[in-house]
Amino acid sequence: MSLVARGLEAEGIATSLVSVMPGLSSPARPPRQVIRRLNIGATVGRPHDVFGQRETLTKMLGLVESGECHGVVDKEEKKEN
Amino acid sequence: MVDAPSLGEWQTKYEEWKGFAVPLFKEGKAKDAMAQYPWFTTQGEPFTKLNKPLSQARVGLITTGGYSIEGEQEAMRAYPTFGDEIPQVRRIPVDVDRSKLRIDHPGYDHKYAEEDVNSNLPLDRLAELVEEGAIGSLCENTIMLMGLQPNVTPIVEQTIPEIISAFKADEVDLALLIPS
Repeated sequence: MSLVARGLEAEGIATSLVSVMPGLSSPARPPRQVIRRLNIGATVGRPHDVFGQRETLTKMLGLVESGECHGVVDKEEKKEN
Repeated sequence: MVDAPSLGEWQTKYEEWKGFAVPLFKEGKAKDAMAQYPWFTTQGEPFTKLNKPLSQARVGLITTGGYSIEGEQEAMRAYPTFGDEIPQVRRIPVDVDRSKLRIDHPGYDHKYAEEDVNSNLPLDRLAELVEEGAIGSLCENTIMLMGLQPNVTPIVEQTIPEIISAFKADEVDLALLIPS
């Protein structure tokens, strides 16, 4: 998916990629990436967690709006207990 | 094709890896095979700044969830293709009847998406954002891919140009990419 993002950006289409496995998505260097602490298969958010799902999409859209250069990352930090 | 020049050197490493990895996949040892996978190294930093407000932007959606429409589309190919096979690209209308969606992807747990498709295919959430005016509009079709595509070459040479062509025809301004 990182390569798809790069191909689109090179042709004038802005992109935002969400990843729950940055070890897989980062090597190919996507232009914009939102890293979330979510499960594979629930990359946008947990079932029926409308708030969480919207948060993921809002972060992705926000990165398109605010990102000024290639390689920008929005990384969710581990929550402290 | 921004990454096409890097394919030659990578392909050599890939062919070596394939000889080692295919037998492991057949033995169900995909994790061992992928531990040695030659990750593709990219050159250049393509970047497009959105030239309009989000509230006016047309948004495209791409996922590797491996969905197809029951009764209307054949199941997607649900195994890794190591050769020159071109990865399948499906188009699923954003207003599809959610009850007809079928997941063909064998590589992730379907329990979340079966409970709520928006877990990895956020059609309802995006429709809400359009309704609220946060984004301008949604592309007519979601681009659906299958994960498990170790050979990068047909992706760069065939799949990506097909997606670019589809999005340009639909005047997409920005694309959201959601792997599964």
